[in-house]
Amino acid sequence: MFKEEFYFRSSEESTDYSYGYNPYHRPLDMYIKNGVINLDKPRGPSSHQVTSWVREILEIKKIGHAGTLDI
Amino acid sequence: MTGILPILLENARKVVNLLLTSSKEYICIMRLHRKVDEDKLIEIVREFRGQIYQIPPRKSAIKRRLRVRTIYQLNVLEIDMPFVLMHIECEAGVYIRKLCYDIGEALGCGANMYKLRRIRSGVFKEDETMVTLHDIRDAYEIYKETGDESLLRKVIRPMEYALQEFHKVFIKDSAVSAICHGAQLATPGIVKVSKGIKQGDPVVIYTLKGEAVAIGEALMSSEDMIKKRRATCVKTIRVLMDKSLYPKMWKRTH
Repeated sequence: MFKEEFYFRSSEESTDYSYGYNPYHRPLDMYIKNGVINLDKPRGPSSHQVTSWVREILEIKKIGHAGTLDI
Repeated sequence: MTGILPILLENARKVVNLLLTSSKEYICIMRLHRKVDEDKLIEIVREFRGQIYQIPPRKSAIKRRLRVRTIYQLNVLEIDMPFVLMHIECEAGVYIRKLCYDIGEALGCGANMYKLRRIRSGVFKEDETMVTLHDIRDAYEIYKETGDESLLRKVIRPMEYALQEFHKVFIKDSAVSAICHGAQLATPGIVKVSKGIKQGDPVVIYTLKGEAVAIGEALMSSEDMIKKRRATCVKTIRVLMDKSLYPKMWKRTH
């Protein structure tokens, strides 16, 4: 869907795998804390309520959503 | 109202402002307050394509003043008087309830939003990545009971997944730490950039491993980012990456 074309400034550059992670291979705790969920919100509860349930399920401290479905 | 609600965990909350600018798609059932001629209905609905004016509803959190918003697609899929099934693709910040009300006013019969389902928000759509609350609970329970992370890693995606629709600037390892400390990006740190970046566009800065480092604002076009020998090319708006991940490699100047 978002196949992109690039301009190169430096084609020789490589990255050192002794630090950092491919986003899909982060250690689980870090993976969750930098994670997003494509949630199918059910009918009834508010966006805020549903978001708060996800926080409880995953036992994490902070959570947010991108765009309410309540207005 | 049901449908796509992107959830941002912990550090990923930092991308919210960028995601709020994403386009949206909806399936909506509008209820007309009395029956009208179907041809007239389709003709009036068509007039709401393109630029429309809306005042945010009282219930919303933002300032209530007239705003211009774009409706990219607006199609009547089915009519079963007084119900009208519609597909809508629009810019961020369009209120569908308001749109239904305004269509009702234009028709002269009055109308209201009866049901709404969001089918897309930016890159989040009704595909294999979409999950229910039950899916999340199951994946977490399985992880806790068996230690198997695989389901949980499907239910949760990295924040980079959400950012893929925005222009990208890939940088050298040696430039990462400075950006994490809030520095602006200079052209020598660049490896490659998306084509089509214009001055003022939002961009996401990535490492060569594909990790999002920061959200920034382009200070020049893609072409200039490649050509300019030494210039500040991206203003760092929001740092996403933990400072401690990449070693400090910049030279200290006294």
